[in-house]
Amino acid sequence: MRWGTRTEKQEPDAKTPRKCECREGSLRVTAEAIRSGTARVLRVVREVVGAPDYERYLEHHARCHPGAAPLDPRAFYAEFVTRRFGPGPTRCC
Amino acid sequence: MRRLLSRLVWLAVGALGATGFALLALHRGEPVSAAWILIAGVASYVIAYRFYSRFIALKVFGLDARRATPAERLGNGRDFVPTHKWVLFGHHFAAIAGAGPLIGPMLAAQFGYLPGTLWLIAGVVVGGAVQDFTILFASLRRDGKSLGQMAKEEVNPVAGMAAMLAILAIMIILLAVLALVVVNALKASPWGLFTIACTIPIALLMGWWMKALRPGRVLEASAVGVTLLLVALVAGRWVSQDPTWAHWFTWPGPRLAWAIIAYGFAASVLPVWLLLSPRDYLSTFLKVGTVLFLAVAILILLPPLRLPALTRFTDGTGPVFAGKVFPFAFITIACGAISGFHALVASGTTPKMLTRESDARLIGYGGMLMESFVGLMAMIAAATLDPGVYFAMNVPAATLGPTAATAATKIAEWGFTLQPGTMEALARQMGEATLFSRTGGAPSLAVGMAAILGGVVSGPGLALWYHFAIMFEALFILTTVDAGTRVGRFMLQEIAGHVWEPLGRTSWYPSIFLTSAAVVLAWGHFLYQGVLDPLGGINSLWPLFGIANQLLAAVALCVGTTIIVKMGKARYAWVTLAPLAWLASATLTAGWQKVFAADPRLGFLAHARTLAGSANPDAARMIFNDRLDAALALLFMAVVLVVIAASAREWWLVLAGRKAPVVHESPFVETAYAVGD
Repeated sequence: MRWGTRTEKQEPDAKTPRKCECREGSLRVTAEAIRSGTARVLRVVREVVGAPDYERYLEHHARCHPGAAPLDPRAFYAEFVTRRFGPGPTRCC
Repeated sequence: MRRLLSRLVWLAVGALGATGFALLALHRGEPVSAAWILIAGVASYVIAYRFYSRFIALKVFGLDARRATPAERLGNGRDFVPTHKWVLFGHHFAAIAGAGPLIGPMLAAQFGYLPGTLWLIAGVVVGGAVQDFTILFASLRRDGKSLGQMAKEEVNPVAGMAAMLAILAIMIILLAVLALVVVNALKASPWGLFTIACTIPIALLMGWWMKALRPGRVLEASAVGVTLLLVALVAGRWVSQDPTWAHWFTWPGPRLAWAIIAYGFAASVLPVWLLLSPRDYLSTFLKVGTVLFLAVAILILLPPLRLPALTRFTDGTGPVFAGKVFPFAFITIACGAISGFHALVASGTTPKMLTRESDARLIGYGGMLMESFVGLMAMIAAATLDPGVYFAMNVPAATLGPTAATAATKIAEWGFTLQPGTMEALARQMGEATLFSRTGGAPSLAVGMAAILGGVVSGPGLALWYHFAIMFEALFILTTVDAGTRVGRFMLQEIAGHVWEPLGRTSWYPSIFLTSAAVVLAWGHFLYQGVLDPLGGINSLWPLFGIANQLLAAVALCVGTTIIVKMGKARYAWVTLAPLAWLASATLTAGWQKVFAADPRLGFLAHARTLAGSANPDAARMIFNDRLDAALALLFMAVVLVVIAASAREWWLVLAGRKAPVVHESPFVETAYAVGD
C-alpha cells in the first residue's frame, strides 16, 4: 500500500449511528494535494513531529463544513497548539 | 514450498539470535563485539513481532480492519486525524522515547552489560510492548480515552482515583530525577550551560515566528532554531575558553536547581506557543535525528564491549546505586523494557491518529520494540567505556575520595584499573574541567556517544560531540520537565476543582499560579535535596523513579487484564497477567527493600537511623528526606496494591458469573476505507 494512493468508498451507511457525520474518508484529496515530492516529504515530517498542517485542515474543512468560513492560519495555529499541549502528556520520559 | 522456505528463514533468524545470546552470556576474556547485542536484540524483536504480536492482535484483541477508528469517525483535521501507519510509527516513537531508555541502561551497567541487555530484550517482548499495545488498543476502542478514565470505567472508581494519584506522584518523582540529571550534567560546565541557556531565547524566537511572523510555519521556524542551536554549540567552546565568560556560566548545583525550578514554573504559566511548543519541536527534531545517527554510527563501528558481562556488584555492593541485581536491575531499567508512562501516551495522542485498527500492532507493539533498541544502544555506549572510566564518572565523590589517587585506589579495590592521568586527559579531550563523579548517567553517556559519533565523523572533534550529546540529552529532558509540570498542573487543577470549584478553571490565573507553584515546589523539593545529597541524589531518586514507573505499568496491565477478561477472552489473560506478576513481584520487593532493608546504603529508614544523634549539621534535614522517600515508596506500593485488589475483584466477579462482562467500547461502525490495501 502506498501512501496517498488508496481508493475509498464513501457513502456513509445511513443505518449506523454516527458521532460525527463528517468522516475523514477521503484520503484521495490528500493524495492530490501532495503530488509533488517535496510537499509529500514535508507533510510526512510535519506529521512525525506533530506539527500543524494548515493545508490538511483546509481540505478537511472544505469537505466537511462546506459553506462555513475556515479559520485563518493564525487562529488555526493558536487552536492547534492549545489542543496539542492540553491536559494529557504528549512526551514520555 | 513457500511455507517451507518461510519456516527455514524464521529458523535461521532464531538460530542467529540464539547464537548472539550464547556469545554474550558465555564469552569471557576477550572483548565481545557490540554486534552480538544488536543481533540478539533484533532477532528477538523480529520473531516476537511476527509471531507474538500477531497472536495478540488476532486471538486476544481481535483487531478488526473493518472497524472505523476514532480518527476516521471523529476526524476534525486537528487532533483526530487519520495518519499513515509508518508516519504515525515515527510520531509515536518520538513521543515515547526520551531520557529514560538512555539513562537507565547506563546506570544498570554497574552489574555488567548482560543483566541489562537480557532485561531490555525479554522485558520488552513480553512486557513493555504488550502493555503499550494493550493500552493503545483499549483507548482506540474508546475514542482515545485516558488511562485514568479507563481504570474508572472498566475497573471501578476506586481504581480510577488510585491510578490518577499514581500518575501525579510518578510525575513529581520523574520530573525531580530528570531535572537532577540535567543539573549534574551542567554543573561546573560553562560550555554545556551556555548552550542550554541559549535554547531559551531560541525557543522564544521560534515561538514568535510561528505565532506572529509566519503563523503555523513550524518547519521553517525549526530549521532556524536548529541552525541557531548548532551556532550556540560551537560558540560554547569559545565561552568555556574565555575566563570572564566561563566564570559567568560556571554555576554550582543549587543555583542550577533553582534556575530549572523557575524555568518549570514559567513554562507552566506562560502560553504554550511562547516556550513550550517551540521547545517541543526543537527537541523532537534533535532527538529523532540523533537517535538515527547513533544507530547508523554503531552499525558502522560495531565497537568492542570493554565492560565485563557481569561484575561483582550483582551481589548488591554496587557503588553507583545499592541493591542486588534482582530486583534492582529491573527497576533501574524501566523505560526501554517496560514503562508505565507509555500508557499515558498510548491513551492520549496516538489512538486519535490511527487510520485502521489493525495498525495498532505496528504502532503499539512495534513502537516499543524501537524504544528497547534505543536502550540497547545506550547499553552499548556504556559497555564501550573503559570500566575504570565508567566507575570514576558514575560513583559519587563521597565514595571515590577527594583526589585522583584515592579514586584510582578505590577502583582498583573493585578489580578495575584507572591509569593515572586517564581522567584528566579525557576531561581535556571532552572540553570539561573534570569528569570525576559526574553522576546521573548523562555525562558518561555523552562520553560514550562522543566516542561512537566521533569515530564515524571525526571532523568536529570529541569535545564538540561530547557537548552535542549533552545538549541533546538536556534539551529533551527539559522539554519533559516543562511539559510534565504543565500536565501535573492540569491534574492538580482537576483534583483541586473538586474541593473549590474556581481552582478547577484551567484558564483562571490565580489557580494557574497556585497549582503551578505547588507542582514545581513538589518536584523542586526532591531535586534540591538531591543536589545537596553528598551521595549525588541519583542514588535514592532513580530507584524511586523506577519503582514509580514500573508500578504505573502494573496499573496499566491491571486495566488491560480487566478489559481482556470482560471481553470474554479470560483464557488469554496470561498475556498481561504474566508481565503483571513479574513486575509486581520485582517492584514490590524493590520498594520493600528501599524502605526496610537493614543496610543503610539501601534502606531509607536504616539510613535515617545511622544519622540519628550524629554531629552532622545536615542530619535533621537528611533524616526528614529519608523518611519522606520511605513514605513515598510505601504510598506507591499501597496504591498499586489497591489497584491490583480492585481489579482482581472484578475478574473474580466476572469469571464467577456474578457480574455481566460488559466493556465500555464505542459502538462498531464500519470503515469507509477500502479494506485490504
